[in-house]
Amino acid sequence: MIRNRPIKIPGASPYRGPTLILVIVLLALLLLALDYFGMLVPVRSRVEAMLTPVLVWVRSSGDWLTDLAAPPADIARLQAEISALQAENSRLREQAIQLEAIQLENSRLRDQLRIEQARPWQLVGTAVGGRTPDTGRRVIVLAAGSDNGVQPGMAVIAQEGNQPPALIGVVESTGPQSAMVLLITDFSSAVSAQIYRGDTVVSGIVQGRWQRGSRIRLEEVDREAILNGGEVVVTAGLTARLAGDLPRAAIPPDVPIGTIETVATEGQQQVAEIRPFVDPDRVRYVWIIVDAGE
Amino acid sequence: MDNRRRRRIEERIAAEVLLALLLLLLALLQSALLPRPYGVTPNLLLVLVVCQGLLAGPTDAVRWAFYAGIGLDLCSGSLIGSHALALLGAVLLATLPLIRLSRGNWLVPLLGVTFGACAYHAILALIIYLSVAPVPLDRYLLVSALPEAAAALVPALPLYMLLHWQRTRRYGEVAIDVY
Repeated sequence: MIRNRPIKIPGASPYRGPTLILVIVLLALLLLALDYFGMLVPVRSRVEAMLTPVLVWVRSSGDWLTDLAAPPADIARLQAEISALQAENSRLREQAIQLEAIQLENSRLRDQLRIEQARPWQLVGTAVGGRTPDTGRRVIVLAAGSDNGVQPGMAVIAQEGNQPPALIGVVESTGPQSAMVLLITDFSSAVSAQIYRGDTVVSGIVQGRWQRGSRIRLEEVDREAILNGGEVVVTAGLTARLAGDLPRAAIPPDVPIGTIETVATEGQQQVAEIRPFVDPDRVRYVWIIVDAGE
Repeated sequence: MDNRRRRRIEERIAAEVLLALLLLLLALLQSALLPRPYGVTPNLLLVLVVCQGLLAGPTDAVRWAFYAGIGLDLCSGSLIGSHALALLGAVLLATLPLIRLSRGNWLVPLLGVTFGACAYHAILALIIYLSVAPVPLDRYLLVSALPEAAAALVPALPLYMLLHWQRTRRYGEVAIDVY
């Protein structure tokens, strides 16, 4: 077998490579420890404030590319539209781009107004920037932070199609212009939940299950309270009532989460797989409940 | 220090900064742009640093792994150093067992990326286990690690061939057994 290893330079120290590897590994471990104990928060906040707008811009460009790869009928329609647009002068094209942005913003604000009219919540709308590059944790980065009134523990909702606006995650940490949101599908996410059934309420905990092979599951439900498929699960807001200083304290009650798909019994408790109203992996725009109005 | 040596050091620092910025840009694109069919996306930076390790050796690739890892950490909000450590482990585990194989062997990138993905996910799972919450490792393996390792194999061979071609063109390598 022919081997084409790099030619060693005479005089080069044989310890240089292993030393460099060791130094870099130790540096990574040091950074990990410093960040774990919160000593890199100021640096991280500054870098995230710079990166988040870029992430949002890249993501919106990605959406544009996705639209380009739409089915042929859409491409034909888009090409016709593009041809028509090319016939216009630069001033009109500039106006069209501005109008498009205003329309999108208008649509999002109308959605926000509709939610705020139906609920007592005060919302802050923002685009989704980045996502975790691997499936180890389900976290998204938002382009709004403490400067917009966003605080850790606040509930994050989104809407998809005709579904109601539903919980997709909880703000985990904030920078001045950015926020990290732990999605409800992450295995470390647990939210108190309930099901209304006439004049009684069935309580439980919605636990993230993505890393365990499903999405979310209702657990800790009393075995005698029979669960049925299709029942709507909403947040209970128990932490908000019992302990206002806990991170999860800002999740208001009655935020829709999803519907029950399947029910099983495990020991003395029932568990139910839940189909979320909104797929947290697909959302592009979300609202943070900054004031539950209670 | 004479001018020539100083200029050489300045050139090396500039090249290092450029490399770090380039890998940060790739991390940004991977975090925000890559499609996620079924929630899984091919980890291009993992494949890139492993291929670099196989072609240029681990000493060169650990720098790439460090910069790329820090970039991923900053773009994804995870603990700074976690992805860097995972990529460093991937480079070392992918390159050291295969160091005696010919670079022209097409199995090298596939084996390298497989080993690298195993190390990457093992280290990430351990960091998550210790710093966030205990995750059932068997489910993590089935749901996260295996699909992502399989997805990483898709771009492994084309990317390796591209880097190999570029490297051969740049350095004009000659097989050592010819002498």
